[in-house]
Amino acid sequence: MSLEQISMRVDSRLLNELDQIAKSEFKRRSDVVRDALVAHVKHEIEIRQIKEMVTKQFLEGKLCFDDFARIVSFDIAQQIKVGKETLEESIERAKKDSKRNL
Amino acid sequence: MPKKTQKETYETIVVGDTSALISLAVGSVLLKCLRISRILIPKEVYTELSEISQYNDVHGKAAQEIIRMISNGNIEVDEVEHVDKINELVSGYSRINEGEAEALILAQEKSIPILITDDFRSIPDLKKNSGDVEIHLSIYLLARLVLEKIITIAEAQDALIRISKGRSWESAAIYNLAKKYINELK
Repeated sequence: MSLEQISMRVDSRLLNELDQIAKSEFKRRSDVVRDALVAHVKHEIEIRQIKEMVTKQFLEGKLCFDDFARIVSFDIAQQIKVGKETLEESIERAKKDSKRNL
Repeated sequence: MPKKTQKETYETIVVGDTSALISLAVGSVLLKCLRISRILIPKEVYTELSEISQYNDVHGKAAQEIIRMISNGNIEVDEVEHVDKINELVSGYSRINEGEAEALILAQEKSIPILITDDFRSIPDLKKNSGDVEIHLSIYLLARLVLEKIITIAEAQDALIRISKGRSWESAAIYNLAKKYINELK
């Protein structure tokens, strides 16, 4: 795996706090930023995996909408609920229209 | 009521938005869909496809293929008359973009009963404003291809796998469920 270089702008107060953390941990500034980045990406992947798991349970009827919405947020839960309903309507409409042609 | 064509099949017309067309092209079934339905798009969808065609990825290649179909006259592009209605939708509903708004208004103006979209974020708001137009997923055409024996269930499943790659996890969950429903079309 190759190491790529990135540059970013941060406000000076945040940079000061970052430097204090780096100093207290005997690390370089870039090491602290890299560790934070790795932790954040790992966390996001774990959250996504949890959301995917509960979505599967909701779609299989094993989890009620309210509990599902508490975990993934109301907007996403609503989006998936309507997506499922639309999928079922699309299949039913396809069956109806295909009957005419067969 | 759809009219009968010379081939004695009922001709369907659908309006498609960018997401649905990209799905069907990525699934390598768009050309086959034209055997069962005419597909109409508004100008803004054409613009969106032109922008996506610049990307060097699977969606970019799909957009290039769709643009070729438009150039060949296989997919029709039409203009919306009531631009004010588009502005109303876009300003009133943050999840509806211009392409989707134009697609819905075009379907309403031309009395086309079906709008296909795979933009799951916008579907709840599109449904609120759809009037007589039914909002369906691209899976409507995919299921018809299976039911009318133009493709096999296995080919439809492969298409869904290709479509779900590169989409959000929320969309992938719906395509995954679609695989189950398509399998039940035996």
